[in-house]
Formats: sequence, structure tokens, C-alpha cells
Amino acid sequence: MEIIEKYLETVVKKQKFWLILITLAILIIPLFTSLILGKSLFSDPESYYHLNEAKNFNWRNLEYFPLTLALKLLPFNFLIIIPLVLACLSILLLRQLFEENKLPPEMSFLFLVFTIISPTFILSFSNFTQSSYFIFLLVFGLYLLSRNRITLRIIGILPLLIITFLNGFSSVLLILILTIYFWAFKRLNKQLIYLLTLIFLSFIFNMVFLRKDFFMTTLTNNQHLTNLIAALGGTSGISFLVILLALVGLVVTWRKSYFYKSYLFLPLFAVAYFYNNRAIFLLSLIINFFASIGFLKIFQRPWILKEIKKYTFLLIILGLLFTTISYLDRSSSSGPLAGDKEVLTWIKDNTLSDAIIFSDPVDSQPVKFFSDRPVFYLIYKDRSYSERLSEEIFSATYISDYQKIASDSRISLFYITPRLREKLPSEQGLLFLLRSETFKLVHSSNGFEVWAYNGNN
Amino acid sequence: MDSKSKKWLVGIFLGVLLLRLILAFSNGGFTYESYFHLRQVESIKETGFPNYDDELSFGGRHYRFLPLFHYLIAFFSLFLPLEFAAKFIPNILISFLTVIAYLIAGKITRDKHAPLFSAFIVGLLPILFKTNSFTPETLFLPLIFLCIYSFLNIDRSKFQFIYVISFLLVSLVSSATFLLIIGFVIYLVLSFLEGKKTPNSELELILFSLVFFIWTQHLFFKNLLLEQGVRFIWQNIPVQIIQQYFPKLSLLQVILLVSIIPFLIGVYVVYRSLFKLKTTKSFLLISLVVSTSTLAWLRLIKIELSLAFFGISLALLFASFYEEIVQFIQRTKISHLQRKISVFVVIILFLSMIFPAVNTSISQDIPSLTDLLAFQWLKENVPENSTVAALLEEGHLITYYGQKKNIIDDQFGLVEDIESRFSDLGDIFTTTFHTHAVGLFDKYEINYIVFSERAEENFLFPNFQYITPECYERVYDEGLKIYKVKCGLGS
Repeated sequence: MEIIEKYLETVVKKQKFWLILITLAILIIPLFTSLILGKSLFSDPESYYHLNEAKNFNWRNLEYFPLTLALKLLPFNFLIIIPLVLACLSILLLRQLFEENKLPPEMSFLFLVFTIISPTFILSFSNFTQSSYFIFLLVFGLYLLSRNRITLRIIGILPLLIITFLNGFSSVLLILILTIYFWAFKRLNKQLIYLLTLIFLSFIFNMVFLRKDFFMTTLTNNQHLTNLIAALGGTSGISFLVILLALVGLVVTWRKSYFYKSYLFLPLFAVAYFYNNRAIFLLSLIINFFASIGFLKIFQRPWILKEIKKYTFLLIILGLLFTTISYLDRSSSSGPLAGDKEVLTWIKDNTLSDAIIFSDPVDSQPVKFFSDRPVFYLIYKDRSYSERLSEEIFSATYISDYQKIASDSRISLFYITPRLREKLPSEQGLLFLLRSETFKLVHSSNGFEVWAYNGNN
Repeated sequence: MDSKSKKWLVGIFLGVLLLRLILAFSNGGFTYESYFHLRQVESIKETGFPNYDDELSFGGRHYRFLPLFHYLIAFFSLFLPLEFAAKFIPNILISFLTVIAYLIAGKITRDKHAPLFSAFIVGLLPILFKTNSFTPETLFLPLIFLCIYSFLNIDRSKFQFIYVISFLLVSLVSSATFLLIIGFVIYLVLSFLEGKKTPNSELELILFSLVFFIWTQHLFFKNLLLEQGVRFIWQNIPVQIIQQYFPKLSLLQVILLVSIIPFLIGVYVVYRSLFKLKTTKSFLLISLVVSTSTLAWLRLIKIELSLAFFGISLALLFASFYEEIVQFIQRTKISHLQRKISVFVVIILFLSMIFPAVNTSISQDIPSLTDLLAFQWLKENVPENSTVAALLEEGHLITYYGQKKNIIDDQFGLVEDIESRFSDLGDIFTTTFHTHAVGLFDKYEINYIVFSERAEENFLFPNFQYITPECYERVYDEGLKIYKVKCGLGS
């Protein structure tokens, strides 16, 4: 244990270097896997939502200007540099903020390591996600606001105002975070009141004049427990051991004046998560914070059972790494595959530009991005209506059931993937109907198929 | 331990073992679920590995379970015939509970006779008298109570080692080890509420256990957790029979399975320990009772396991009661009768426990000999790769004796269409429509169907309702009927 403590001391001294190294190592691994498999580098459908928005840049989504620009200037695979840079900058800025708030260096180092190896971080910063953008803008804004030079402090307002353009939920969250942060670690003063007012006005402007959504309109499956714990198979999640360590952290910091104000972030982020599971990254940040306290408390105290201490330490480290490796392994098989890209590019090159594609709702954003065609699920603003119609199409018993929906929505192409075939029954519903003469297989590659519907003629 | 107590303890152990073995061998086969474990032991014996990719169960599937118990029996089956070892070893293991109970009770009392009473009660607990059950619980229970005994002696370095080893082993036997973890948590809460300081060594060991348990379960069940999420808690049991797996027992049934005297006295001791004496020595046992009872009430663990924990814990607490009674008698004018009173207690305990215990053993759910012969017949007389439909309980008999594919058994984990399979199986037995039945035979590629006496009891029909000589050939009819399916939807 002494050797480990010695190593930790050395690492903590040069933590900037090590943190960047760990961040890049963790984030680059899934990229290499994707490149080898010929997959798209972005595995999360949310990335394609943002890429589609950036493609359709207009005055209502001004916040996408940098991405629109990048999309025009950089080859597609090079876009991955953007989340990687955001990740490194966010980590460095967070470390800086901790240093300025006089958090012990080993605690801030552990917190950041726990964060970097968490599935939520990996998912958020190896894709274009609102969470990564939100965190970067928030810490960047806070960093600038805490500078002495007035010019920098004024510039610091800008990133915070950009957050209000993301959606209503982010704006509300930002106002609450800033209030708690300044109350807990800084002082509530007039400048903050002005800042909050400005943010509030921008929020109103976005909601009323730009008619922004309150929540981002991607397909979010709100299964709270499954999405919370990585081992239960959610999209990302938090390691169960980290939650356990966080509980220890919560118990040991109870009523300690320095920490108890940070308790306020916990209900805030928990409620945010409850409303929208995409807010898990924020919740994971606060859980990682308490976990780092718990970890240090456990291993900095003298143990009576010294051998048991070694085993427990080893098991916790292995457990944390196991969650990360398990997630990396899982993420390498998710997202658009080489077959998806090939077939969707075929659609782009060989079909009419107004051909409407019906696909699995989960795939709708990547399908739209790669095929450059309208996707049935995304046509309707009311997503619950789209979901219901999609479900009706999946379970249609007779062609006539389907024809009613088809004549209204003018679907002309069906995109069938091996994933969808696994989900749907083959002897009834859509897959069964595809065997009829009304449908024709127009292209197929490695189980990815495009079927044309002839009934619209 | 003095030599007299030692002799008594050896006597209790041997007496319990002998009784269990007599009952086990006179009852014939094994309980239905045992045949799954027998197959796994066979697989380990033949290949060195458990059969995680089973080609016969559900017509071919993948599953995960903790294999230590199976490896242990496979080891013994190298020297003994498998079915003999499968009866002999589990009964020895459960009988060892008497010794462990003696040791634990010795920690919570100072009276030298009181632990013998605990050992005696544990030995005759009716809920533990499923003598023909070949399941990992028979290794799990002694190991978990060995963990508890080591935990109570944690100040001695030898027991730290024993604790780590026994906890490691028990984590590889059954996931029900989490009962101990939850018991520890309740123990900490109880100690905190009573203002008792928990020793650091105990906290360290609890943390180690928690982390180690999470780690091993995560390693073994990674895919199961990922695929089934929170549903893994209910082991993918079909909704239709969840009541059967997690039944709500009446107080009377609980008393019968735990036996009346240990039950009443245990409840009294729990009350006194918690609200009057507030002794930390009993807190851990009480915590176990609370954790298992709560989890069983929430339908998170099987009631049998909960009752086993409950019964053993109450038997251990009986030692405290006996000690108090002896101390009380010594202060009265009838102190000279103490010996006679002890004998009287033994007789009362024996009489109140022996009949429920033997009855539990006799009324175990065991397939009849004619059923076993019929399933053995399948092995030689039915072509390879055939699929046989029988009752859910009989699924393992098809795979173990018949070595043919079944369409369902009680290992539900990781089976995707479990609900529809279960309801389709019900339809095979109850439908009156030949076309519906044939549709299901096509769906699951069923070649043979089995109608046993058990099926007759379950469905109250003497046979399948759609049998016609043109489509079904009766190939076996000795107490149990086996039909060959000759028709398909196309014919």
C-alpha cells in the first residue's frame, strides 16, 4: 500500500499531464475499434441529431454554427477531434476550478479519474452530445467568471448564454447550478444577480421567440434504474462500486461545513435525471465527487486488518476498471455499422430526394444523416404520435392496415437491419408483410436491406 | 468444548445424518429441480466445465450460474457413483450445520449445554429436511453460517482467514450471499440506533465482503445483468407462476416449517434482545432474520431459503433463552430439578420437531419411479435431436434421463420468450383444438409429447384433448403416456 501511495503522490503532483493522458487513452480506444470494424466513429444516435441540426443550420439554431462550419471544412471522421478537445479542456478547467476552490489535490485528481473512466463521460465525450457541450460551456464560463480581469469576466458570460440556446431544460439547470455554486463557494452579489437575470432573459427569448423545445427531442428511454447503473445495460450509466463509494462519501462528509453545501447539487441533479435520463452526466459528476471522498476516507485511515485493506483496494480498482472495459466492449458493438453506412449511402445515391424512409425509430437520426432523406419517425413534431404509428406499422397484420398509414405518410422505402430483424417477429407484422408483392427488395448488403413500397403508385 | 459436550455434539451430528440418509435413500429419486444440477455435475465430470451452452434445455440456450457446488460434487463423484454422491454429500453438508450452530451458539451464551440445544434444533428443523434435494443451498447454508461464526470471532487472526476463505467460497456457490450483506447493513443500522460502536475490524470486513461480492457477481453475471437489467432479480420467472415461486405463507405454515417451539422462543428472544437487553451479540443473527424475512415478504428471495435462515437463526437464539431459563431456575427452589427440566426440554423439542421433519422429507416433490422409467425410455427409443414436450417440472427429466431437447424447464434466466413459451405449454396440455396444438408443435419443432399422472392432477384431464390415431402414435403407456407427433400444419 505504501508503494501505491507513493505512486499516487507522484501522479498527483503532475496531474494535468496524467489526466490528459488518461482521457485520451480512454476515449481513443473505442475510436480505434470503430475504425478497425469500419463503423461510424459516432456510436450515439444523439450525435446524428446534432449533425442533422448542423446540416440544416438556420437562424433558429444559431448554436450549431461551429458544428456547421466544422461539417463543411473537415472530413467526416475528423469531426471526432471536436469532442476529444472538449473533453481535455473540460477536464483541465474542472481541475483548475477545484484548485481555486482549495479542494485537496488528491481528491480533485481522484474525482477527475473516476469521471474520466465512467461510461457517462466516455459516451458524452466520444460523441456530439448536449451534456459534453453543456459541461464545457459551464466550466469555461465559470473559469472566466472567476478571473480577476473584468474583460475576461465579461467574456465569461458568453458561454453561459450559449447554454440557454440549447433548450429550456439546460437553461433552468444552468440558473440553479449557478445559484448553488455561487452561494456555496463564492458570494452571492449584485453581479451574479445581473448574470442570472441576463440568462433568464435569454431563456425567455429562446422559448418565446425562437420557440426552442424544453427538452431535446431525441429518443430518450427514461428507465431510471437501468440507465443509472452501468451493469444493468443502460446506454451509459455509473459503476455500482462508484455509487457505493459515494454513499460512504456522503456518510463521512455529513455535517462537515466545507462539503455540506455540495449536497444541494445531489437533489438538483437527481431531479434533473428523473425528468430526463440524458442528464445522467451531471448526476454522475456529483456521485463521482462523493465517491472520491469516500475512497480517500476508506484508504487514508489506518486499517486493523491490513491484508484485507490490500484486497479491498485491489477489488475496488479492478471493479472500476471492469465497468469501464465492459462499457468500452459494449460500445464497440453499438451505433451505425459498416453495413448501415454502405446501404444508407446507396439510398442517398440511388433514390429520389423526397423518398420517405421508414426505419427503426432508434435509428432514425443516423438514417437521416447518412441517407440525406426524410425519415418517417422524424416527420411529425409529436413524437408520441410517430411512435404510435411506427408501432402500428411494425405490428400490421394485413396489407390494408398498413396502406392506411402509408397513404397518409407517403413512405416509399423500408430500411431493415439485422438488429430490427432480431427485435420483430418474422411470422407476423412488418417482416411477414414484406414477403408480399406490394414490397420489393431493391438493395441489400450483409443483412441490411432496402425495401420499396409499390402501393403508393 | 469439554469432552462430554463433544460427545453429545458428535452424537447429534451422527443421529441427524443417519436419519437424513435413511429418509433420502428410502424416498427414491431426487426433487425435480435436482436433475438440472445432476446434469451440470455430469458435464463437469466429462468435460471439466459446466454446461453453460446447453443444447437440450429449451431446445438450445445459454445460461449462467455459480458452479462451485457442482465442482465439489463432481470431485466426489470421481470416487462414488454420481447419484449416491448427490444424496450423500448434501446430507453430510446440511448435517454439519449442527456443528456450526453449536459453535455460533457458544459465542452468544456462556452456558455449556445451551449450544447443544441449538445444534439439536438445527438438526431437526423441518424446513431443512428436504433430504432428496440436490441443490447448491445444501453447501450454501453451512458456508454462510461458517462466515457468521468467523465474523463473530474476527478479533482472532485465524478466523479472519477462515472468514475470507468461506466468504470467497460462498460467493461462488450462490448469489443468495447478498442476504448476509444485507444482514450486515441491518446490523450496522441496529448498532447505530442503539448507540453501540461497531469495531473497525468488523467495518473493514463488511466493506471487503460487499466489494468482493459485487465483483464476483458482476464477473459471472455480466451478460445476464446487461440483457435483463433489473428483471434479473426475479430470474425471468414467468408472471403466471411467480406466485408459485414466491408464495405468501400463512403464519401457521411458517410455524410448521420452523417448528413451534423454536418459533415462539425465537420471537421472544428477538424481542428481548432488541428492546430489553440490547445485546450486540445477537444483533447479527437478528439482522439476518430481519433481512431474510423482509426480502421474502418483498418477494425478492424464495420463501424456502428465507425460512431456512429464519429457522436456523431462531434455533441459535434459543441458546440465549435456555441460558436465561437455567439461570432463573438456579435462583429458585427447584434448582435441583434443572437436569430433569433439560431432559424434558429435549423430549418436548424432539417430539415437536421429528414428525414435521420426517413429514417434510416424505412429502417432497419427487417424480415417481414409473415416471423415471418413462423418461429413461426416451433415451434409447427416441431419435437424437428430438424435442419432447412435458410439464415444466419434468423438463430436467427429459434432458437428464432422456437426453432429448425440452421446450421448457425451471431455468428461466436469459430465455427471451419465456412468457409465451409458458403459456404455449399450458395450451399444449389444455387445448381442445388439434390445429392449435399442431401449430405449437411446428413452432417448437416438437416430436413427442408426454402426459404424466402429475399432468392429470394439474389439469384434471385424463389425457391430451386432441389425440387422434392418425396424428399421434402412442409409443409408451406404462403409467405415463408418450405420443409421437405425426402431423404438421402442412399435412
